[in-house]
Amino acid sequence: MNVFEARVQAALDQSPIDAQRSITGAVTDQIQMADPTLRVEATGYFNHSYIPDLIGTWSTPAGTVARPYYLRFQLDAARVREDVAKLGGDSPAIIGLLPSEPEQQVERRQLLDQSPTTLVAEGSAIEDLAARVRNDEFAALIPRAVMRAGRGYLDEQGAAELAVAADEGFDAAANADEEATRSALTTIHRHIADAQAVELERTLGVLWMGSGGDRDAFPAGLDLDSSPLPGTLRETLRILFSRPAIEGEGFWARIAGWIGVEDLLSFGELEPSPNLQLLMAEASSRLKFVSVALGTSELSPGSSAIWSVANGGLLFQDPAVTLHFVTDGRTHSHWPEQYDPPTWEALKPRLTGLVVERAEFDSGSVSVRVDAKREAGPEQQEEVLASIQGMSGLGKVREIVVRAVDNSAIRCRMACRVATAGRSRRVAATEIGAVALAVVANLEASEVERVGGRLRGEHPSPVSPPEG
Amino acid sequence: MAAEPTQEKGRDGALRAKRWLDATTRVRISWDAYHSPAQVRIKRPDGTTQLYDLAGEFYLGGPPKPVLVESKNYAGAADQAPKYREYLADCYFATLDKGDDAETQFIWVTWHPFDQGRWPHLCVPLDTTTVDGRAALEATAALIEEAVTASGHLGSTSLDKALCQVVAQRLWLVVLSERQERYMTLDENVAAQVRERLLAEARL
Repeated sequence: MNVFEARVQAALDQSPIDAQRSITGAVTDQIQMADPTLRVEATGYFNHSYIPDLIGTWSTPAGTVARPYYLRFQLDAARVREDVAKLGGDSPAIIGLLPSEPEQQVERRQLLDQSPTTLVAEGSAIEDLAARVRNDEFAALIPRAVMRAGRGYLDEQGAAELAVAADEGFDAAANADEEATRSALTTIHRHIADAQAVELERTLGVLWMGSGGDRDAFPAGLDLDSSPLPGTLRETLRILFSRPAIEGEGFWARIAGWIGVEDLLSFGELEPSPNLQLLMAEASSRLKFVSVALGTSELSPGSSAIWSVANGGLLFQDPAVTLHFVTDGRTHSHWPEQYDPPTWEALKPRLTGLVVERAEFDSGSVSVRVDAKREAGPEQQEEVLASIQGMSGLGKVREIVVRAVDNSAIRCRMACRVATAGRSRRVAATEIGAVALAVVANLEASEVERVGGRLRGEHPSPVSPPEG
Repeated sequence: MAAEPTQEKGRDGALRAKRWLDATTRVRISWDAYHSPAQVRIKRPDGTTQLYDLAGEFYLGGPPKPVLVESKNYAGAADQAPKYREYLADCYFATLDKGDDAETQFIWVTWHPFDQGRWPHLCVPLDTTTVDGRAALEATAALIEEAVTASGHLGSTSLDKALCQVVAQRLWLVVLSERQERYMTLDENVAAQVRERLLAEARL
């Protein structure tokens, strides 16, 4: 007797109210053990009729999806047949609380073999499946899909089959093992209805392609020529980031080919995991940004640079500087009407800290020129200084040109108020980082660069034109 | 009255009774003798126990009340008359067991009438304030007294006549037929709408 059965049996001897609460609690726990992201609510009905006892909901990009869960004491074959006929239209899950008659097992399996979207599950089998795969996040996608879109009859045998598919399928795809991947997909389709099964196929496909597997050999009808869907890629990345470093040749380079900054930002927060560093090592030179904010670094000298996602942006930290990349200017685009620029006194210590470290960026000879839309005046100088806090906030600066000693130049157009793709040239991370640092370095390096400006709290001073 | 899992006909009757009662939306049957015997078991004063076929809640307005159901899937009167006497005694014992305050209701569901001579006294009319109603109540209470005394399950307790009158007013007698089950309930479309409404209310 597993934990679920024991809980149900114990509940049956409690008072009616407690028994109902305990049983729905046991089923809820079991469902959430299989799918921790599912929200499960008791309807208050516990009469095993045409009103579900529980309803599970989850969010998708298209909206909230619900699945009704009907509880039955036992999965009597005749009753199951009737339930499937009458309730099947809602893609329900019908869950047996107590072990069913073993002699009806074949009948139940045959009865439900062709059921497109109805799951009839022995309660203990759900626990069995969830318990078998709980230590592997890829494998855990299987019970989750079963709770949302499981179909057919799930008993101990079905749970065992799915556990094998879960245990072996993802590894098989990650090693481009065609036969084992096909076997896993067959099991998945037998027990999981189309939409969720295809989602699992796509996840396997991402791993397959990451591993360098032949697209044509992938044992499913997926179009692997196109990039993975954002949801699939996100879920796959989430799991990959939680796993030990994957240093397979070219794996992250292939994955990097599909991601954009938005994919990473959609996580909200990402710890600087080893796999994220490996991904960014491949991706950073091709990711496009329109803005970056500078900050001081908390890393001690000698530390390795790290990437993470935090505060709505992609964060790069090394001992010299923190660069906070955002893609669409959301965090800096709205220049307040009553913007209060920082004082030089307030800004200088921070700049000094950066300049001390700038040698590592080889920016000692960089010069900066700022072209404003209007004639240079005091306002522009204030804006340039303001840009040190957030370059996307450069409300009126349209262009920054950075020249190195060899006279090569990086020109970045900054469409900053609301930085849309149509108005701004997206700049590679490495470039915009260099530009940002150059601005900082140059302002600190030469007072001449502070031409035409008068910062808040400063007395007017003679203006020298910038070089250019 | 004992539910015997091996008696398929009795089991089928319990299921049909449950469905019809659930379909009224006034009753929610959660438990049955075949899967959850502890929930349908009552204790008699002499220490013996008895199982009803079904148990659940009755929504009569105000807080739901417990309900115990006995179903008789009979094609004739058969032995329902003596079984009903035993049932009356057990309704009394169930009220003792679960407490008068619980206001437990008792429903006998059958597919064939029985004990025609005493039919008017097998349960009482809704209005027991009239002369006729009062007389009917007294007659049903007397039947319960007789059944309890004859049962031999009183143990060391003595008969509580006032309780017999209380129990008499909590008796329900339902005679079903196949046509009634099939056609005198909501059709599937309306039932689906009812379900959506009930679910919406449940989730508020």
